[in-house]
Order: sequence, then structure tokens, then C-alpha cells
Amino acid sequence: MSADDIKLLSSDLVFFDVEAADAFELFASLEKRLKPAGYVRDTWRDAISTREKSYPTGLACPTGQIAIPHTDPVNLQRPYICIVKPKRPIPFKAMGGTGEDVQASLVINLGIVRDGGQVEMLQKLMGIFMDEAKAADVFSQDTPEGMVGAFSKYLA
Amino acid sequence: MKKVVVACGSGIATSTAVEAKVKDLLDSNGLKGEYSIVKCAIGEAPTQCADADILIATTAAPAGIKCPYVNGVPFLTTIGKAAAEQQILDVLKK
Repeated sequence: MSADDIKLLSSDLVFFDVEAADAFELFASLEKRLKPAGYVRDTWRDAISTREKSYPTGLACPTGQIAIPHTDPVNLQRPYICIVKPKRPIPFKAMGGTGEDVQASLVINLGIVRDGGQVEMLQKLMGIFMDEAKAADVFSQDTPEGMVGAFSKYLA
Repeated sequence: MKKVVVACGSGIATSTAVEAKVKDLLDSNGLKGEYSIVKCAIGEAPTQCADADILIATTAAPAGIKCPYVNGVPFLTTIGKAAAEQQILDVLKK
């Protein structure tokens, strides 16, 4: 994983003010932020919504419930990582097709455009949520800079 | 040579994370050199699984696959990981 991949973490893409009743409302809200900033294409919202319906991304980790929605690179303009700590947990379906609900108190939208470093980042990211102290640190952040700092520390 | 198929929605993100864990599992259980892993999008899984020994996926099992299916999500969350590992070893050590 290169330093460039870590640089995808940006305090401009950490949001604490999102309210959404479900994943699809969240995607609508994120589109308004990510599209004008040049990260995603016009096709993104439909693509990620369809993808989430078919292959949900909620994960019940030992340390807390999260979701890692993502879609195919063709819908992206450039790579990014967007982190949302919603005002209230957002219901997602669990990954793996069990039909269970996950109440995501952190949503990490991975704008992955290629194989390689960014996937390695996903693996490291999952490592955070298997470690109680690291996960608690991340879940407790309440500023964009703090969130980026915490993730950068554990992903480096 | 056993053929292991690892799949997720796109064949890029979570399947790669799961693939690394499965490799570690198989190698540490004496299966090094006795298997090949194919990583793919779940849409390609039915074709890839036609001659496979096992499908490990972070999605539900697609219709029409004949080989055993194991849910790969425990390799991401660690919850239920021991059981998933055992299922895989049971299939591949036969």
C-alpha cells in the first residue's frame, strides 16, 4: 500500500451531519456532496443503490456495526474514501445474504478504482474493527480531522 | 489440485480480503501447493464453479452452483470464523 492510498483519507469527506432512514437515503445525500466535488459520475447513485440491494454491505463486527458500501470503478471519477458517522445509526442489510439487519454507526464508502493498494487498505480497515481499542478510538471521534487522524494512524 | 472460487459483488474488494485469509488457512493446514484460487465477481461464479471444489463468497450463494458454498463474511468480521474455517477444511481435506 502506497502513501497515495492513505492520502485518500480527507477531512473534507468525513461527515457527521447525515441523517438517513436507510442506505438509499444516505446515497442520495452523499451524491449531493460527492458529485459536485468531482468524485463520482452521474451513474453512481443508481449503481451503488442497485449494488447494495443485490449485495448488501452491512458488517456486524465484534466492536460495532458498520457498513462499507461501494460500487464499480466505472461510476467513479477519481478514488476517494468517504466516512460518515451518522446522527443515528443507519439500517443496512448484512453482507452475505443472511437477510439480517445491521445498524451502522459508521459508514465507510470506499471509492476504489483498482485492485492492489486500495484493497489492502480495506483489509487493514477491517483490522481496525477487530481490535477493541482501535475501534473505540475511531467510533469516538467527533471531528473530521480527528477521524482522519485516527484512521491514518491505524492504516499506515 | 482443488479449485477454490472466492467471490464478492465486484470481484475486487471483499473477495480479495477473503482470498488472503483463505490462503493463510489452507497453507497453515498443509494444503500449500494443492489448491488454486480463482477470484471473481459473483455473476461469474456459476461458470467458475462448474469445475470447482468450493465457493466462498461474501454474498448469498447464487442459483445453480453445484459445489459446496461457504459464507465468507466471517473472514471480514471474525464472528463465526472458526466455524467457516472448519467448513472449508472439511470440504478440501476430503
